Amino acid sequence: MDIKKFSALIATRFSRASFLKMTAAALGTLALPPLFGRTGVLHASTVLAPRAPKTISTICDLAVARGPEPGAATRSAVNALGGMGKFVKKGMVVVVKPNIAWDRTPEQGATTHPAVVAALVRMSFEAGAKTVKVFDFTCNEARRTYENSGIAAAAKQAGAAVNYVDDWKFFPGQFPPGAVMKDWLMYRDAVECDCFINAPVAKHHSLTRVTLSIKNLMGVCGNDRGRMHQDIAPKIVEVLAFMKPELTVIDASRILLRNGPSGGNMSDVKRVDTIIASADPVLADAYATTLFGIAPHEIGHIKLAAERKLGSMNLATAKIRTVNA
Amino acid sequence: MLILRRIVQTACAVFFIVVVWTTRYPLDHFLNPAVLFKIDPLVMIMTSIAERIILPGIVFAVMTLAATFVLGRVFCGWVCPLGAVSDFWVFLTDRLRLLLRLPVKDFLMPRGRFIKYAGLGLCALLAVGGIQFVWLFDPLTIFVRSVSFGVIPPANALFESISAKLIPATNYYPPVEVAYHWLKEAMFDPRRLLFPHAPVISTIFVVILAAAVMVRRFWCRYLCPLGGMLALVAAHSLLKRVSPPCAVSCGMCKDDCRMGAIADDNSYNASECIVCLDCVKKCSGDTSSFSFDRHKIVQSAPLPSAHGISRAQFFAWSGVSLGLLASSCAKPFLRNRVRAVIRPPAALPEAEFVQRCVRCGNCMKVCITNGLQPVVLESGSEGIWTPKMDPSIGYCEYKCTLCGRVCPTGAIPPLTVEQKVRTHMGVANIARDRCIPWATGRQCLVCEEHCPIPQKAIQIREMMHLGQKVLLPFVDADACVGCTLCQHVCPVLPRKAIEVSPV
Repeated sequence: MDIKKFSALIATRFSRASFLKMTAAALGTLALPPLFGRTGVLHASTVLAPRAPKTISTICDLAVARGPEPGAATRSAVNALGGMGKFVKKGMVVVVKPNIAWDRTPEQGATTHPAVVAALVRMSFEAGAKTVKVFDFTCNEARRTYENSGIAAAAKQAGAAVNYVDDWKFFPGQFPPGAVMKDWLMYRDAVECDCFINAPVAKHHSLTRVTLSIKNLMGVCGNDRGRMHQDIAPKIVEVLAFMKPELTVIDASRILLRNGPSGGNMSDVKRVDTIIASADPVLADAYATTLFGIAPHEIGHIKLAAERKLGSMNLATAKIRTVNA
Repeated sequence: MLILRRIVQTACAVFFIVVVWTTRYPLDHFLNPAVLFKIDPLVMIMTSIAERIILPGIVFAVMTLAATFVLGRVFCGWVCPLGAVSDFWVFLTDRLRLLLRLPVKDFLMPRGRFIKYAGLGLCALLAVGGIQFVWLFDPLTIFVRSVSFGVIPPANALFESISAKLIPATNYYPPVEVAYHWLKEAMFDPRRLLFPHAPVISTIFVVILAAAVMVRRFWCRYLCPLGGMLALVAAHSLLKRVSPPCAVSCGMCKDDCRMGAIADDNSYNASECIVCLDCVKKCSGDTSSFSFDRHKIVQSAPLPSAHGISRAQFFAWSGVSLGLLASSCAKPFLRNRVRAVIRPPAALPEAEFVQRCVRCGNCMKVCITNGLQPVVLESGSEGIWTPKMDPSIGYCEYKCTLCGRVCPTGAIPPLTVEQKVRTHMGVANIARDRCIPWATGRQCLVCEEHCPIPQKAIQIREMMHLGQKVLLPFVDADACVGCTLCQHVCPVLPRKAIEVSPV
C-alpha cells in the first residue's frame, strides 16, 4: 500500500468530526489513571491506627481448663473468665487469629487445634457476633496449611468466614514515632475489627525459645517477616501494643517441646490437655511458659512486654482459676 | 453441519482453556492436563522416538491419526484449540482487514506449504538422532503454554488490582467482599502468579494471530508441523470432497476456503483441506459436498512426475542424510550435561530430562508456590523453557506432589508423598560472610524455623562467636532435600545468605 492510497483511504474512512471525537476519547482515557492513582478519589490511602484499648473486667485474671477434649476445654476456660459475652457484644465483627502457619496435621502440634478455633467461633456467634473472620498470614503455602491443619473446615462449619490473606489489604501501621516497627505493614481485617481473639498454639521456638500469643501476632504483619527476626523481642512487643487483643486463648492441648516452630516429629509433641484463657496476653504467655519448665522472665519478649506495662507476668499475684472440662 | 463444526470447535477451545485454568491445587477438578497431550501424535510419537520408549497413552495419538485417515484433517478444523482461536480471531478482525484493505492473498502458495513438511522432517530427523524438538512448534503445546503463561497470570493480576481498588472504594461492603472471595477461590490463586519470562513465551502465539489477519490460518497452512503430519495421512483419507467441474463457477468456495485448498478448476488438495465445510455451505449451486463414495470423487490432476530424480529431490535427500548424521553426532554432546539449575523433584537425569520435557508448562502452572519457572539459558541452549525452581519467587512445598502428576511425558515422574519427602533436589549451603548470625553475631534463624524436615536439615548450635554467645545455623547436607524454602525466606538481600545447589 503506497502513501497515496493510504491517505485516500484515511480520507474516505474518517471525517474531521470523527477524528476529533476519537482524539477526545483517546485523551479522555489519559485522565482515568489519576482516579486510581495514589491521590485519586478511588484510591484509599489508608494508614492503620493502633487498636483502641479496652478495659474488660473478667471474673479472674487467668483461667486454665484441663480436659482431654480441646473444644470443651476452650469453652470452660472462656466461661471461667465470665463467658464470651464479656468480650463479644451483639453485632460485633470478631477476628479469631489462630496459628495456621505450617503445613502440618493437628496432632503434630505446629498449628492451633481446629476444635479450639471452632469453639471460639461458635461462642462468638452465641454472644451475638455479626461476623467472625478466621485467617493467618501463613509461612507454608496457605491453601495447604488451611486444609491440612483442619482449621479451615472446622471454622467454616462453625460459621466463620475463612479467607486467605490478600496482599492488597496490608497498610502501613501508625506505630509511635521512633518505633522499630515504624510504617510496618499491618493486615487491615485484623486491625479494623471490634474484637480480636488471639488463639495461638504453645510451641518451642528456636529463636525466642517459646512461641505463644505475642509471637502469634506476627501473623497479622506484612512485609518480609524474616526481617523482624533480628532483635525480635522489641518488634513483636510493639505489635502487641498496636494490636491489644481483647482475648487470648492459648491452645496447650499438646505442646511442641523441640524443633519448633514448624515441628513435624511426633516424639517432640507432649500432651498437656490444657487451654489457657485471659484478657491479659502477657499473663497468658507467662503462665504458658511454665508448661515448658521456663520462668516467664527468662523469655525476652514477655519480660519486655511486662516492663512496658502491656500486661503482667507476675503469676504469684494473679488471680488464676483452674477448671476441669 | 457448519453450525455443528462451530459448536465443536468452540467447545474444544473452551475445554482446553478450562482444563488449563483448573490446573492448580488441589487438582481434583475436571481433567488432568497431561491427558491433553496424549491425543497429539506429534508430541507423543516424536518424543517416543527421541527417547526410545513408548509413552503411555500413545494409543490416543494413534487414534488421532486413524481418525485423520478416515475423515481427513478434522483435528485441525474441528479440534485444535489454536485453530479455533485463530478462526475466532479472524472473525473478530475481519472488519479491520476490510478497513485496511489488506490483501487476502495466498502469497506463499504453493511452495510455502512445504515449510510445514520441512519442519516435520526436521523434528523427525532430530528425534531419530535422540533429540526432541517438537516443543517449540507443536500447536497444542503453544496453546497450553500461552494460556498458562500469557493469559491466566495477567487475568489473575487484573482481577486482584481491580478488587484492590473497588473493595476499599465500597468501604469493604461485606457482600462485595463475599463475592470477591468466592470468585477468587473459584477461579484464581490466592497469590498473584509471577512469570517474568511470560511475554517471550507468548510471542509465538501473538505472531500466529497477527499472521492470521493477513492470511487466514497462516500457521496451519504453512508452518504447523502437526498439520504437516496429519496432512500426510489426510492425502489418503477416505472422506473426500466431491468436486466435479462446476457449472456455475462463482468461485465462492475457492475464495472463502480458509486453507486455500481449492483450485481454480474446483478440484481440491486433500492434504490441505481441514473439513471445515465452508465450501459446502457457501456453494451457490449444489456442487460441493463430502463423501466416502469413491465413484463420486473426482481427484485433482496429479502433479506431473519427472523420471529419475530432480535437482530439488537430490538436495532434499542429501539434506536428510546430512541432518541424520548431524543429529546423531549432536546427541553425545548433550549427554554430558551437568545439572546447572534446580529441577522439579525426581526429574529424570539432566540429558534425558531436557529431551523428554515438551515445555508444555503444566508443572509451572500447577506449582503451588509459583516457584517453578521457565529456564532461559541457564541450562544450555537445548534447555530453554524447561522448568527450574526459582527461590526468588517460590520454593518446593515439602509434601506437595503436583508437578509430577501433570507431566504428560514423565519427565517429572509422579511421586507419592512418602517418596517426595525423601527426594533430594539440591543441597543448601550457608554463605558465612553474608549470613546475619555468622557475619554480625545478630540473631536471625529464619532458615532454621522454616526448614520442613522434622529432624531439621538446618541445625543450630549456641557458640561463642565474635566475642558473644550466638545461635548459629549449620546445614546437615544428608538431611537436606534442597526444597529452597530456606533460601526463599532468607532476609539477606540482594544475594541470599543460604543458597541451594542442584544435585
